[in-house]
Amino acid sequence: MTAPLLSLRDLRTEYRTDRGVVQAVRGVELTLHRGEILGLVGESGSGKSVTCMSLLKLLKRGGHITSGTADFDGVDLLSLSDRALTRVRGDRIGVIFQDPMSALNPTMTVGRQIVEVLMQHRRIGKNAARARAVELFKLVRIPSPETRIDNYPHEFSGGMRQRVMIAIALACEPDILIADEPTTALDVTIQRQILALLKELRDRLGMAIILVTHDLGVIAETADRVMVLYGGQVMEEAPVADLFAAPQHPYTRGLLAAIPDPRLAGRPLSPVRGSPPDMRSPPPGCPFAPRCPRAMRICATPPPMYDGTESARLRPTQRSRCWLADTNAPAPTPEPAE
Amino acid sequence: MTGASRLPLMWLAQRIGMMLLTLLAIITLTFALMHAVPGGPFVSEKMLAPEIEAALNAKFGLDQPIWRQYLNYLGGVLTFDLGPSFKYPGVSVNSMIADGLAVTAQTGLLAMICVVAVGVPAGIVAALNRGRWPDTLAMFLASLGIAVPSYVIATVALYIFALRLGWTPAFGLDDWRGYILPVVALSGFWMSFVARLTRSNLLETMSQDYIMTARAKGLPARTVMLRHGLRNSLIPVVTVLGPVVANLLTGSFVIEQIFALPGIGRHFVQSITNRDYTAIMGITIFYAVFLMLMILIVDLLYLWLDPRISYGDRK
Repeated sequence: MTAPLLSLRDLRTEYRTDRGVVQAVRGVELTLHRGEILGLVGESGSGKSVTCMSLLKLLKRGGHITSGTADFDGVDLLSLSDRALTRVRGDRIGVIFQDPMSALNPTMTVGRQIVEVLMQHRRIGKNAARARAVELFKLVRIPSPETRIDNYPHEFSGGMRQRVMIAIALACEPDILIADEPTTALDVTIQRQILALLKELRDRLGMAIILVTHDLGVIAETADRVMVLYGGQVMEEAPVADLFAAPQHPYTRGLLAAIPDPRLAGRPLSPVRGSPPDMRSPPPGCPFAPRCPRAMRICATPPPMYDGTESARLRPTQRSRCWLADTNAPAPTPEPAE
Repeated sequence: MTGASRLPLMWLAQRIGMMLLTLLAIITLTFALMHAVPGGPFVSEKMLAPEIEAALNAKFGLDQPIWRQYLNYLGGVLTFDLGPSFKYPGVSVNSMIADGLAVTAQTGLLAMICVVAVGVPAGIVAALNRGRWPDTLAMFLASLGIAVPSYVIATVALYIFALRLGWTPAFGLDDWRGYILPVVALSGFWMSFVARLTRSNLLETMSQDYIMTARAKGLPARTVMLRHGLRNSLIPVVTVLGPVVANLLTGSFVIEQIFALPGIGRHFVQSITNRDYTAIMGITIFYAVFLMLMILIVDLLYLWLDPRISYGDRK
C-alpha cells in the first residue's frame, strides 16, 4: 500500500469548561489513504467529531489540542499556525457539517458563499469564480444552477442546502473531505441521495472522505473502512465488511446488536446498557469496562491496541483495543443468546 | 441585491394608513387629557380681568364647545398648521418647533453620530478581544454610561471641564467647544447601550454554525468576523437605533435645561406647565410622527439587512 495521505498520531484534545476539563479525545490514531472513505462511528461524546475538527483546529471555545501529530503530505497540521492553517482549510481539506439549515450564512446568497472560498484560495476573477460555482452546482446536481446561485439559503430545502455545502467544500478540489454527520439532520430518502452523491463524487474526483456518523447503517452503505470510537479512544478498526461480519470489540458487538432487525419485529430492542463515561474523569482502564458484559479484572488497566499481527484472534487488517484480543485471554464465550 | 423588487408597496400603503390612524388616536387622547387637566393657558396667579380673559378665550376659540375646538384643531393639522402659541403672542407652534428643532437637531445629530461611530466599533473591539483588557475597559465604561444618569454626567462634566478647567463654555452653542459636553451627556447612555448590544450580539453570532463554516473555508479570522459575523449581528442594533434617533433628535429636557439650550425638549415641558394647548399638541404630534417614521425606516432597513424578511405575503 502507498504512503497514507493523512496519518494522525496520539491526538489528545481537551475542552476547558466551567465545570472542569473534558478530555474529549485521548490518544486517537488515524490513517487515511487517498480516495478512501473512512467512517468514524460512535455515540455522542465519543470524540469522533472533535477528532476531525482538531485536524483543522476548528474547535469551539475552550478547546485545546494537548498532544499529537497529523502528518498530511509531509506537513504536520497540528503544528501549523492559525494563519498557515487557513491555506489548508477549504483548499486542501474541505468540511461539511451536520445541519445544513444553520451552516450557511442566512444573509448571503449561496453563490457568494461559494465564490468567496474560490477567491480565497485561487487566483481567479469574480466572473470566473461565478462560472466555476455554476459548474459546482451542476456537479452536486442542483437543478437550474444559473438562477439558483443567486438565491439565499432559506430558499432551498434541507437536502439542497447540504448539496450547496458539498459544493462549497469541494470548490477547491480538496484531497480530504471531512463530512461531520452530513445526513443526520436530513430525512431518510434525502439521506440516501446525499450519501450516494458523496460516493459518486469520491469516485469522480478521487478525494478521501472522513465520514463521521453515529449511524452504522450509513457506515455500511458508504464507508470502506471503519473506526469505532468510545470515550475519546479508538475501540476497533476494520474494513467495513469485516467489522460487520466479525466484530471483535464488545462495544462494537453491542452497537451492532442494538440495530433493530425487521425480522425480529415485536421483540424488545437490545440497547447497550449503561451510559457513557464522564469525560472529566474517565475510568483509568478501558472506558467501556463499566458497561461491558464481558469485563474482566484486567480491564481496569488500559488495554493496548492489538492488531492482526499481534493477535491470532484478529484478521490481518483488523485492530481492537480489548484485552480479549490478547492471546492469553480466555476463550471467546458464545454470543449471548439475544 | 433584490431589495427593490422585494419592496412591498401594498404593505407600505397599509403601514402608512396605520400610522395615520395611530396619529389620530394620539391627537384625540392628548387633546382629551390636556383638557381634563385643571387650569388653562390664561389662568395664572396674577388674575386677569374677567373681560380680558373672556376676550382671549374668544380670540383663541376656547369659548367654543370642546368638540368644535377638536374639529377646528384637526382641520389645522390636516393643513400642517399647528396653530398659534397661546403663551407667546405672535409665535406659531410651527415656528416654535422649527426654532427648537434647529438647536436640538444639531446636538441630537452629533449625539447620534457618536452613538453609531463610537458605540458600534467599541462593541466590535470588545468582542474581538473578549476577556482581554480592551473588552474589560470598554465594558467598564459602558456599564458606567448606562448606570450613571445623564444629568449626573452633565453636571459633573460641567463642573470639571467648564468650571474648574475652563476648557469648554458652561452654556450655549456659540463655539464648537460648546457642543462637546451636551453631546457627550446626550449620547452617553445610548452609546454605552449600543456598545454592549453590539458586543453581545456579535459574540452570539460568532457561535453560530455558519461562522464555523466560514472558518472551515479558510477565511482569515478578521474576514470571518466582519463579513459573516457583523452583518448578522447588526440587526438587533438597527432595531434600537430607530427609537434612539427619535429620542435624541427630539431632545432631552434635562440636558437642555442644564446647558441652557433653547431646544425643543425645553419648549415641551414649559408648554405643559403653561397649559399652552397648541404647543403641547404640536410637539406631541411632531414627536409621534417622527418616531413612527423612524420605526418605518428601521422596518425597511430589515429588508436590506436580512433577505429572509419579506412583507409582501402578509395577510
